Amino acid sequence: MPKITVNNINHNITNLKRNLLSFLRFDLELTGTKLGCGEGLCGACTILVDGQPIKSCMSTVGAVIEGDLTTIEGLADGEILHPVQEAFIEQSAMQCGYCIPGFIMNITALFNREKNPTREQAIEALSENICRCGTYSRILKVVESLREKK
Amino acid sequence: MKKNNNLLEIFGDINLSIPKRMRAGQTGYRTVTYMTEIPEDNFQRMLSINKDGIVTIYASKVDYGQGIKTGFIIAVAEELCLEPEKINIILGDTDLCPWDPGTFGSDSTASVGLLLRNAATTAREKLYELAAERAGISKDNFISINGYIEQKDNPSVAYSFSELIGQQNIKVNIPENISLSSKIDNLYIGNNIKRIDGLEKVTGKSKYSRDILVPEMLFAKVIRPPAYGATINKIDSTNLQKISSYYQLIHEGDLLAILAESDEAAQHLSSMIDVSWHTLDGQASRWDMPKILLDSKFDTSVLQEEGNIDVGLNEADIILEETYYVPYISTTPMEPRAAVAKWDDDKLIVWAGTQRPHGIKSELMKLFNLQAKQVRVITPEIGGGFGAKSLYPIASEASILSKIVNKPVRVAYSRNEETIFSSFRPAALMEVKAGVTIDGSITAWSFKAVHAGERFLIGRRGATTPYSSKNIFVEVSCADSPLKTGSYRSLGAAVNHFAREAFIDELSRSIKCDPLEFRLQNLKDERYINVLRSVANKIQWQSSTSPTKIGQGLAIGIDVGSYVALAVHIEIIGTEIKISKVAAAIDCGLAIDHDGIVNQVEGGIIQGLGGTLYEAIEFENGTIINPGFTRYRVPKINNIPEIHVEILDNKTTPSSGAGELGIVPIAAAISNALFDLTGQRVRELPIQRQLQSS
Repeated sequence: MPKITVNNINHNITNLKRNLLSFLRFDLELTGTKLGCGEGLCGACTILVDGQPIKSCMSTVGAVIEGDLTTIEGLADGEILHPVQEAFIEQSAMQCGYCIPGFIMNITALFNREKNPTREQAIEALSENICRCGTYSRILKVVESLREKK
Repeated sequence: MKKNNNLLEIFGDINLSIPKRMRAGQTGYRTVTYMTEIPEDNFQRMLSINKDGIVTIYASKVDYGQGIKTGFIIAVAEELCLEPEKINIILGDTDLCPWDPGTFGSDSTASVGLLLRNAATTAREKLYELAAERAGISKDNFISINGYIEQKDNPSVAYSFSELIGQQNIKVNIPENISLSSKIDNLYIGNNIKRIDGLEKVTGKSKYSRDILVPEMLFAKVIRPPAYGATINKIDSTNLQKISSYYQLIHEGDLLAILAESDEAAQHLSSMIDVSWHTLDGQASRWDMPKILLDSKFDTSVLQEEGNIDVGLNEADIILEETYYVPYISTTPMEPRAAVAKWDDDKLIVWAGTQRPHGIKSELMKLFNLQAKQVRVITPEIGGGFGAKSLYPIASEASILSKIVNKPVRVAYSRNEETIFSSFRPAALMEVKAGVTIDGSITAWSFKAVHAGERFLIGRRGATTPYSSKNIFVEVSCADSPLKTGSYRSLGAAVNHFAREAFIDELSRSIKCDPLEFRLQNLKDERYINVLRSVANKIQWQSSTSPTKIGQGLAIGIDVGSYVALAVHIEIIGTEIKISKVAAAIDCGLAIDHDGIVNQVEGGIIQGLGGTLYEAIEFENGTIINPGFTRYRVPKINNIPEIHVEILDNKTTPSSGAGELGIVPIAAAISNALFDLTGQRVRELPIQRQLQSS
């Protein structure tokens, strides 16, 4: 039976056509990943597949078979937060918080790709994530603070 | 049943949760804010301390990003001298929290924040009394320190909260004549306290309405009309007969929905139903708006009248007259609304991320003819609202469907539905006429605004002028609205300010006076002058009698009693306007949660930047042409300026709201900067589109 791994737990897949975001949110009850538009335009549903960011609302489960998926719930190591999560708290980089998991996943992927991303690279990486509360400048400060720590 | 043993409970007057400006029988305001009847039991629980010394705040203001959870906890922490971590907060659960008119108008800190400070003060005084009884000395001898009531000159005498409360159940009303300590120690108030809800939000643990999953819950897909005013003609569901999986098709009044065990199944099955609609032809389109606004005025109200405009115009060296226009825009919060309803026998429980939990409860009571105790609305986290989530029609839809199928039901808007079936900030038209002398006196100021929709409170906000003139006339009217209008950050203040502050700029330019100079010359109120000077300094304003070509612009504003000034630098890259820098200064009286306020002002500026540069709802004959993010452009991370926010220290003035300040002057500041850069005056939003079409 086809399998995927989500946050280090294996799952057998019976319905390959299932929308990936719905699968995560409703079947696995991992509701930290959000639906903002369902059209791949806002980034709220971003997760990592083998370390790379994808918009889960535009994917099926079948498209990520054998993949190693990480959602916002799987980012921390037990009680120890991921540095990107820490930085969001430190910078109070959120308001309603609905878009924040998507931003966190994308920034995590950015630091997986680039040891020391520039401001321009950060803007590029986050150019498809929307925050209607307008916390963008704080989110850029998050990237900056992580860069300084390195 | 609730256990009330071993508790100190503080009760407050729910009337004080109504914004000050709306109290005292102004019934008109109730209509426009959808305010429901005030329950008869005026005094309701706002704070409790249990036998373990745990403090809990109860309030029905809700947090959709403003950070009031943090603000309320800071306010209570300060008065109780207790670490914020030891304070719990429950917001917007109508079974547990006091009645409240709703969360709007940046009033949470001013009304309920103050109530909670008073509640904490009342609790503290009661604890002093209990300590005094034990020690046999006067209560004036005690102070509260980190969960202990301590004798001032003898710290060895100290009682924990739980020790003092013991086995008692004490209920105290906040006294009418309560006075807050005039001196704030600034343990927590005014310090940069991190958000209380940060951890939950970065780990995905926060539960929003869309995240509420209840056992046996069915997913509903409501089949909605293709245009406003369309009604069902015929339903052909023969295709569904081949379906073997579980579903229920429900047609109740205007509500047509298919219910299934998964979101995708409901979505898929809905596409198999063929509905033909009676459509309503001859509805207005966006290009009809200016004419509709001018031809259908009603509810005209004169807000300012001094002297005589004609006399003033006769004294002028220069007379200017211009019209400004603003289209409908959408709040477009990141979380499209969702509601889950569940019936436990004759009790209805609804999870809805609304700005008006008690208002929605009241609507549900009416709809099903239920008593107050039979309806519970629980407000989960809310993924943005900006005013629009005052209305929550899907709470009723989910409740109706749930009652029919006798199972919990979830109704959720798609992104497009969230736009189409929401309310919009009204389109508005402002006709401004003024006279000015060469030495910079405004001899006459006439401002006539008309905002679409019947909710007169929207257009009246921020319409009056703070600039001195002997002859002033300001009137605001409602007008017919083809689209549903409703709350939006700052209501009409941002719209009225766009016209006024841009026109002030035009006046100053007409007499070759520097716009900063001109404002300072004609303002009396020190609080305006202070914020204005602050931003001018910060942006290094270049005084000049003619446009500088550097793209600098400024504007001032007032909303809900708070003052703001913005100064911006803009540039044009290719065909795109880029806002490079924004300096903001605000005066909101006593600032409780500094970082929270800065965050709000930044957010208001960004949201305002969208309405200024990009956003406009396009509609034709009852259909919204550009819902969703494909064609409704909102600010993204590559559009944002460097922002600096200064909070002017003003501890002696009571707190007033700060949530709306950023958006209020932004359109004017940007359009003024555009004139400074290019000499082009844009009097219609969104500016980016005007620029491209010219």
